[in-house]
Amino acid sequence: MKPHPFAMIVNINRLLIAALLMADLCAAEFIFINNDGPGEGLNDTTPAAPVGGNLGTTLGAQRLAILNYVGEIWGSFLVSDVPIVVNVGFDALGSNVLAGAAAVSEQADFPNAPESNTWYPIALANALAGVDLEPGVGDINITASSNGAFYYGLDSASPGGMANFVDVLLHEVGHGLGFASFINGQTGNLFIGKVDIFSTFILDRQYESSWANLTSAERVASALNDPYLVWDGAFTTAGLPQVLTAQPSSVIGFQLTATLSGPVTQFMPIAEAAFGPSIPNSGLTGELAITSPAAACAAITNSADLAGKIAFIRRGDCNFDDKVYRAQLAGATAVVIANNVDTNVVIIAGGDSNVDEIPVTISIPTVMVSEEDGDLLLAASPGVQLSFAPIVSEYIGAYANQLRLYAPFGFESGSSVSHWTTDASPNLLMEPIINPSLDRQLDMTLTQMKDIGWTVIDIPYPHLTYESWQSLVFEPTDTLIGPDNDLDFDGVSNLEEYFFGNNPKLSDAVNLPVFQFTSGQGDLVFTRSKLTTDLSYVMDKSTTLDSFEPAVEGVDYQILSTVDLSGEDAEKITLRLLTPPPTLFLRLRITASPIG
Amino acid sequence: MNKACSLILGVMILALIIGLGGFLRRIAPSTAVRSSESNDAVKAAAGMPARFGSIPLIAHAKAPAQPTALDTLAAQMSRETDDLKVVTHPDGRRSVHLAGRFIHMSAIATGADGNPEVQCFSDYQELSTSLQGTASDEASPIRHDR
Repeated sequence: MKPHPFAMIVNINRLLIAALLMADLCAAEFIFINNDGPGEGLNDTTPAAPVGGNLGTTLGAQRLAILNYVGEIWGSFLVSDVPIVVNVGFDALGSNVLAGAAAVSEQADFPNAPESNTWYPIALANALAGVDLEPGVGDINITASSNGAFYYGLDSASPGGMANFVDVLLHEVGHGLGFASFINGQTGNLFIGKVDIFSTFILDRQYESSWANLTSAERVASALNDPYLVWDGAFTTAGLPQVLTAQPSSVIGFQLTATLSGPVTQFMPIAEAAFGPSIPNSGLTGELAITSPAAACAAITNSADLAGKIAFIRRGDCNFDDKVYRAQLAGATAVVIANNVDTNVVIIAGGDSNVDEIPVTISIPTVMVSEEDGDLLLAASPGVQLSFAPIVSEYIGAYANQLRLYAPFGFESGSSVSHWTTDASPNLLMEPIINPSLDRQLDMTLTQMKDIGWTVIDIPYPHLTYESWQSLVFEPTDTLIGPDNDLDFDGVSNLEEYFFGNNPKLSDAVNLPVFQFTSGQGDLVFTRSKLTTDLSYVMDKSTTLDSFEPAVEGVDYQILSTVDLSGEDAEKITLRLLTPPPTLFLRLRITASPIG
Repeated sequence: MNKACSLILGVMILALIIGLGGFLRRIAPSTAVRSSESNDAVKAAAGMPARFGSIPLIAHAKAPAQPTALDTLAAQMSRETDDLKVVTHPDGRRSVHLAGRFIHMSAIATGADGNPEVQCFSDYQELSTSLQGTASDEASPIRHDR
């Protein structure tokens, strides 16, 4: 290469080109075992017209084609040297029952298990151990309805009244691969005395505790604690802004803080009433005032005490809206109803909008607190101050930028905890409602799988922070793992290795930044990781090396091209220098800011 | 005898005939025999030895109810762990075979807005309850949004 008058320097902060971290990764192979008898399920010879890209000409052939298609999709992301064996059986379960799946077994303390004393689904355990821990048994069971209302096309064009078999199986296989809590939803007990790997990532933001550290009773309550139940996985949290829709002003609930005597502040779970207005998005504050009579089932006699305050009423003896209406007439700004049942949870109040059989309009917000919290408020009164602060999420489906789990209060169809929240936007594969508009790139399920220990390749969105990358590439025994360290002593700091997608444990200089001089034009070419969510870069320039100033895109340089390197989680960027002076030093500076 | 009496007598005779017919039917071989004869005819037509002769009037014990597919599904969705066994392997690994349980099952159920949608359940009772609220005979458009 002809020397060029422009110099390129290595700054304190880094300059290098990427040597991609390309391990020899083996995509997972799915093997489906046909457990059906003659003429049923996968052996059903009923003629079927090819549909939606499915070329099978019998029902059985179409079902098999879909299984293979689903295996290909999952297998294109997951890495395992051990084939994933799936036992499949069809039964006549009715037209409305569709399909389901689960792991065949759970494993703990196997070779290379990342966490000890923790249950892992067998497919993941095999992948981590690198051997089939239970040969001949299978890893996932699938049961499907032979007379289910399925659409057998490979596309998403399900007609009304039919469920898309591909989407259903993608979802259910996800459960079998590890998107499932094994904690008993009724008792809160761990699965046979140990926590399962999925549940170690469940975090209750109100308790500020992982499910692994909660008591059984607390887990039962926590399972209903929407919107506080979140997934605490580093890859999922880092990738969340790339997938979920941003909505900075979205209020997803309210945090009640009571200032008791002392003063002592106490956070209290609440449930908003199903009638009347909600708490304003700006929040609500006020002094608590106890009604007389306590249950407010007759006209309130202490209206002067309640005016402009938040009324405290005991549950019982009459309808909720009766109580609230009487407090409203007394001038209260809101109502707190204390449960009279000793449970950890509060109930959602309902009403019939009639008081003494006369239709009324409730114009103040109502919430319910637990009996225990009600007793605290009562004991500390008068003088209790309440504050309902809005809980704002920047992304639809998140709480404090962590993806929420499905934790509806009380009975709702579907399955709690082992699904993402139904509030997420766009719809996610592992929500309890399987929508046909799903992204078959498996959206946040990929990062969830990575969180629990799967090696996942080709995740189509950035999902690494330096910390999560650090946990991936270094061993617990490694030292010099900080961003400014250089573990392999190759002159490239760990942060630079991370930015460029390099291997920090391999001293390699083969991919230094290249300055190309072509047809009178100077180009700076480098490759960077597409996985980083917390770093970006800027170009600085200097003519003397004494000081640098920002180089201006469009004036000093232009981005000539950005080329995705397929399958390498990286992109090759070419910057062209514009109107260069006789001498110019150019500096590529990595910055701690979100990816652009 | 006037017409009314003739009519009453006629009705009584008719009732007697009907009652006698019912009695005769009760002492005659049951329909199961006819069914059996029919089976014999089918077997004969197929070249198989047909069985002839009288069929003894004995009470057949009702066969024990076979588990239905939905019974099996309930077992597959069970979260029962009391009878699951932890196996400790020589290398320290521990394993539990789930006996085909812990399945998450999807179904077309009625959503909160009254429209059918595909939901995934981990609890059989919830699944069963939701199915009861879903009209199985009338295919309705599945809700495609929330």
